[in-house]
Amino acid sequence: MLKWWKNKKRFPKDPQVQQNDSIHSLIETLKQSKDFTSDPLTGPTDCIVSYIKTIIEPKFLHKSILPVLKSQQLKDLEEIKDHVPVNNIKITDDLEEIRIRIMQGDIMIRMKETDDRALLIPATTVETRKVSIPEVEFSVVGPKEAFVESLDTNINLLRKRLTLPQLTIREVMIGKLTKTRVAVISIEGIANKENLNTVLQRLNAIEYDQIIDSSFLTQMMSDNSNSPFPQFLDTERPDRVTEVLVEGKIAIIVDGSPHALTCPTTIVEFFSASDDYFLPWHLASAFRLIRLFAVIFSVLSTSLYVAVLTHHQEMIPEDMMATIVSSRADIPFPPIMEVLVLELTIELLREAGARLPAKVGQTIGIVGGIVIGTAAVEAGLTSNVLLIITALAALASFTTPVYQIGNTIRLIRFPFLLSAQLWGLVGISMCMAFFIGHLIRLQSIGRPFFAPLYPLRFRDLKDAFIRLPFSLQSKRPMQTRADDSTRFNPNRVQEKRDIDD
Amino acid sequence: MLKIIYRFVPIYISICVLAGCEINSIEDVAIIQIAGYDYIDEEKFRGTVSVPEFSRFETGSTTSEKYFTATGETLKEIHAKLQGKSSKPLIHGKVTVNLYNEELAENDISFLLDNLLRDASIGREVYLAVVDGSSKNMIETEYSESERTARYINGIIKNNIEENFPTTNLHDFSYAYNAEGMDGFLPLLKRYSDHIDIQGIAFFKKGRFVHTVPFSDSFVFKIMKENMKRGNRKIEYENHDYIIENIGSGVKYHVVRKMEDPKFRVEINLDGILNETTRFKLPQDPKFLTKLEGKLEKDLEEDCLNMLEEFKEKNIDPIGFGNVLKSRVRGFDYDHWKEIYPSADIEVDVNVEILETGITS
Repeated sequence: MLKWWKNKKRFPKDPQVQQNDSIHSLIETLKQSKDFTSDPLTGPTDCIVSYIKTIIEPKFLHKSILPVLKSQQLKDLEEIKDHVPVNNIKITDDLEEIRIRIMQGDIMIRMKETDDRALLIPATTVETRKVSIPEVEFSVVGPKEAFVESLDTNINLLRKRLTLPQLTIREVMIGKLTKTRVAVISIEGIANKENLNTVLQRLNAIEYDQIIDSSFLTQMMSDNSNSPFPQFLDTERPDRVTEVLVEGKIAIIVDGSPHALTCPTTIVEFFSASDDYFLPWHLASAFRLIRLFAVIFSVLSTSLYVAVLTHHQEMIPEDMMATIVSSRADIPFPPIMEVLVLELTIELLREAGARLPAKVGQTIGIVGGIVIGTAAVEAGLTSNVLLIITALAALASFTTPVYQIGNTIRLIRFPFLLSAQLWGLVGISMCMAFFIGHLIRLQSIGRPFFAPLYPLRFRDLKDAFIRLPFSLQSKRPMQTRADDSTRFNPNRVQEKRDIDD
Repeated sequence: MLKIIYRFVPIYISICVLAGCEINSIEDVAIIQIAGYDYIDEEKFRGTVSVPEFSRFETGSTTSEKYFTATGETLKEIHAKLQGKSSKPLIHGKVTVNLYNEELAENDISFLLDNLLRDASIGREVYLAVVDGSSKNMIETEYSESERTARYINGIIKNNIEENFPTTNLHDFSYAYNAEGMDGFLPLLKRYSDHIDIQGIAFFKKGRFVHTVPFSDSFVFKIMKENMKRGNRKIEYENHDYIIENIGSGVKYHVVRKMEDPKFRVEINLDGILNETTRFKLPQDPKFLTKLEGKLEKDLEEDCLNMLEEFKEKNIDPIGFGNVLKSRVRGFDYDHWKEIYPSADIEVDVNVEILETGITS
């Protein structure tokens, strides 16, 4: 019975979308679109020029190709190839290649309508956004460039920062329909081969019809795709990608996505901002610790409130007793309901603010924060103590430099809340134990996600909760298992300094 | 599929079973802040608790207090009776002060102590105190408009522990109670019409109140008992009074002779500053301070020895010499120690250093 049910659910054989068995039928398919042109050229050279108008550069066609064809008589494709002043021209009769290249914006030239051989001249033009300042990971100091939706522009942004022949860019096409170009970037000689192979193997194993954004890959390639914790760090800053490439990590850039993925990553990396490297190390360390505290506060504060108020009244400090009790006195809900209502309100505000245009979004924030907040307290629906705690917790969750982990923190508050209601502080500890257990088991492309805490790696702790000065970071992180683990030779630094003095 | 369901069964059951325990939010409970017990007769005693009531008005929050009293033979009986008088469940976890009246303390408070120690929700920083008079009256008197009684009494004890009064709380008392060769002590409070005074130190032999020392001598006891940082002491020298403020004293116990014929030396090093005197100017004599130090040393040594003599007479050991000896001697025999303690030889050695005399000299 179960087997029959399983069999029934099995997918039917996928009908091939691109089923063309000859150039002719390919052209027939393309001709259904208005922007496809396939015209015989009259004049000295007799040939058929076919292209998709909307993705080729017309100027290029008119200035570099047509003059050649019209000024002299060229007999076959080889001759045209010799005369057209363009690189990367190819003559082929491979249908698959012809199809891909036409769809990418090549101009196809055939001598006769019935010919299977075709000359392909690349003439692509792609509309892209200009490189602009980072909006998600803004930093006050430091580079102000962010990735855009074009893969080539993005690689350009990396290449100009890392002028190194060893910077290797491997490309994979993923997505049955979208045929999205995915670039895997690493530095040969530094990046661990095993990591690279894992990434490539996982990319090749992806079977899906569309890859619209890099976040698709995060979900598909994750070691544990049911975990709320992202196992790839996504960033829109080319400088950050460069930094991690040099550490021996691997970056994945998806065409059409302004976010690069880097791996292997650890939980602490999600709490380090690029600002941390632009500030002196003691300041950076202090801010990083503040951020970490903010995260813990954000996750635990409301559940502690619930636990203490419902189960452990003796934990309330003497001086706060009057404040808390009198503010709670008129409220008809138990603390858990009160917290849930307020948390949901804040989540609503956040969602509303995120979906609305920037200018309206601000108004929503003010309306929500001030008007609803004070009104709820005055109406006796929530206590003002809790309003402060919830607002601070929400504020604290915004301090995470990586947006993805911020979402995770938003979510994992709720299990903590429920267990706090059920079992008080014991429940919170149980929930914590569960999450830590989960984190310990988690991996990012096969490397431990909870490092450097577990397994404990002292070397990596130099750039985890605190950031020690650059002079002490002479080794690359152990996490990446870099082929070349030395950043610089500390002895040589000493020698140089001696000469200076 | 079934396997997954089975895996969640224990979680489901534990949610159902454990969530059955009573959950009360903070505003739905009566939080006992102070409890007092009075002696009635051989069997019965009376318990009084005070519970704050919070209410909110347009102008702000106010608090008032409610008192419950019940008599019974056991603590649980009293609690049950108290519960019967309250509209909200009584919570013991937040109790800050426990009072026992003198008569009750003389008749052993061990069973009340045991109850406090057994309750996991009660912290170990609870103050215990002996009341000269009725603890019910002490609790039910309003001393200040802005401060509740529990906070007031709590404040008196806490404030004095930072000054001349030796450190005391439930933890210290129960340590002394359970230790071999050490006896506990508690503050002795007395209520006047509108305020409370610390009368002195009430010394216990196990759970029984046996001896008292006036509050004015608590400085002497404190420098022998622990390291202290504040507090002051008067000396009379050549018809003038000088107040020496203690800015740091340390005490060390030396075991000079061991088990058979024990001898202890208590070494006290006291740094002080002179901050008040009844004469306008200090004499020009360069040796004056040294002489003053010498006088203070002599005074303190004398007082300490007198106090220790009293302890020996009453056969109590609040300093914990037995405990010191136990930690220094292999094969400490507690029964033997109990016999020889009254005759133990104790020497007190006080070193005073006056570090400054203020900006007018």
